[in-house]
Amino acid sequence: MNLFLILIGAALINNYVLVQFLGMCPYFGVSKKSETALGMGVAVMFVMVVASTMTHLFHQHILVRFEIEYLQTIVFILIIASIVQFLEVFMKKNFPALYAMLGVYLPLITTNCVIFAVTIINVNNEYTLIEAIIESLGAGLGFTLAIVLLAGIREKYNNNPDIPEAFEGLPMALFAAGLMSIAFMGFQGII
Amino acid sequence: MNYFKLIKNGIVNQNPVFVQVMSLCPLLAVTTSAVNAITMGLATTAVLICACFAISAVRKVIPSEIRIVVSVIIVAGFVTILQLVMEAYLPPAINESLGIFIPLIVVNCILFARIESFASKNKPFASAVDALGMGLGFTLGLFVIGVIREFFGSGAVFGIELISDTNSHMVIMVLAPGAFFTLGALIMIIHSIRRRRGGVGV
Amino acid sequence: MKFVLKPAIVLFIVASATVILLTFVHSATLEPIAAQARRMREIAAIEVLPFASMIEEVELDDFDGITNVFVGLNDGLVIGYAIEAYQLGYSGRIDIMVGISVESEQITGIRILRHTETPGLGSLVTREVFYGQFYEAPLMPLRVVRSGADGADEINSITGATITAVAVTEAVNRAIEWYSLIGGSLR
Repeated sequence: MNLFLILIGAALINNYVLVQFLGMCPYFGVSKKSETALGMGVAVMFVMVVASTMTHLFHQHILVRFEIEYLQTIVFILIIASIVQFLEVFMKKNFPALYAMLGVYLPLITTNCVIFAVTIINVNNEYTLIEAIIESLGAGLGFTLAIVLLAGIREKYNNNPDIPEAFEGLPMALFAAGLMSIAFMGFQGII
Repeated sequence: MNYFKLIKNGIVNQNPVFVQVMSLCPLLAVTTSAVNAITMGLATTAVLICACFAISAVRKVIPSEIRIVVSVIIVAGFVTILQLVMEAYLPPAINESLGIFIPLIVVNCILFARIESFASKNKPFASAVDALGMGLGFTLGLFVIGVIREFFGSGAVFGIELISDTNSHMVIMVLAPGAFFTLGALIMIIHSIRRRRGGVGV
Repeated sequence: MKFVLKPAIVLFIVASATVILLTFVHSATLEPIAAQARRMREIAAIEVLPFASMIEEVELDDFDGITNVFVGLNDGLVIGYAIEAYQLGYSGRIDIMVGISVESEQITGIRILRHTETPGLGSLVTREVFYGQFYEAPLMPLRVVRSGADGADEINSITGATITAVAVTEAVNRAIEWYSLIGGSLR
């Protein structure tokens, strides 16, 4: 399949957050400020690409070869957890600047369903390694886009006295996300 | 320990959906119909009970530094069993509509919240009861959203058609935006009620 | 050293126990899962070939887009075929069962076996209003029109889900193609 189509599909048309409802916890939890939202988005994208590569290789060369695909869930979640741990140590030691920027988000990522989901979707769609990497890149871009946009919206309306009391906090963020989701449905027309 | 209180705590006082607002992913994604919502809720409840019971049973022999890894392995094990059993004995249509959200129970926040805050400190049976309460609370939340979305979006409840004129269906309710709007409205209503009673909102 | 050893041993025991349990459950559910898939197929095949008294699965040579074929028999005579075909829809593969009558050279019905289309839009293909249109359709390439289908080879689309409607129709066309190229000679 066309790689560009996979990228656009994962980032916009089937946006992981707004269309497939994956990664909701960080989406609402870390979207109060655009800077932190951007940091979270980049960290997720980074881990996603590494995790997709690793799980794909593991799946192809170990799970499929020995016909133990039913261990997929357990193997994938452990791979993701180890990657996050490893990245944390590795970044701290070799790239302190990057660690200072993304480090705080890394522990939050282990239980982030969007990463686990992309690895499973890669397997379900029978992607090749390149396609899997592109899919995860697109998913990460889509996640970053959605979370930064929502953070921007939340910054704008924050502390606005016109907002009724009952709407404050999560309900308002949910309505904003709903409107964004409608906007993203427009992308369905491009394929 | 008062078991009835534990269950009530999960369903009402600490309801994972309406009070704690956790596990939004399955909550928004699989609530396009009441049947999907209930199946997902019960599936999650089953994993919750088994995992909390097992982890509580081994809590004393597990060194603290590997507690989280062991929990992840146990949870993933039960989720895989659930996946296989559902595939074998449930109608394929339900499996397909829940799709990826069954394996995703592994990263369900409610699960790890219960393991960390309850199962790793309490006896196995109490942990299982607590898990049952939380699971039922989650199922209730899913069910309410599922019924609302299915009724407005496809004019049916439990697949039984109530409004047959397709032009009067609000299709957006079963699409992605409808999920956000429904949950937003429900939380808003609950916040207002809690405020009026003198409590504080989330 | 002791600090590392105990966690490592415990972790090893937990992981092994889990994997052994999973292997056991996996082998126990292998047969029911296969049986479930077979049953679903057979029910659909009987539904699309209502006048066959029995159905039988036939060996299939590789044919693009066709996964399984059943023959419908009546008094030992082949009276129709139930052909399982698939096509990529809007969000994944759509599997359908197409019934074709040998005698009338018409489609005797289709059923959607599996799909992951958008609920409320693409999922409407599973309603009879849509799939019923294929009943008694002629064995020629069918096409999807926006509305007001009047020719025998025209199928009404679904508002907002054209891709899904086209995919189902393409899968039906694939089944028709199989029948005219291979099915006729199996008789």
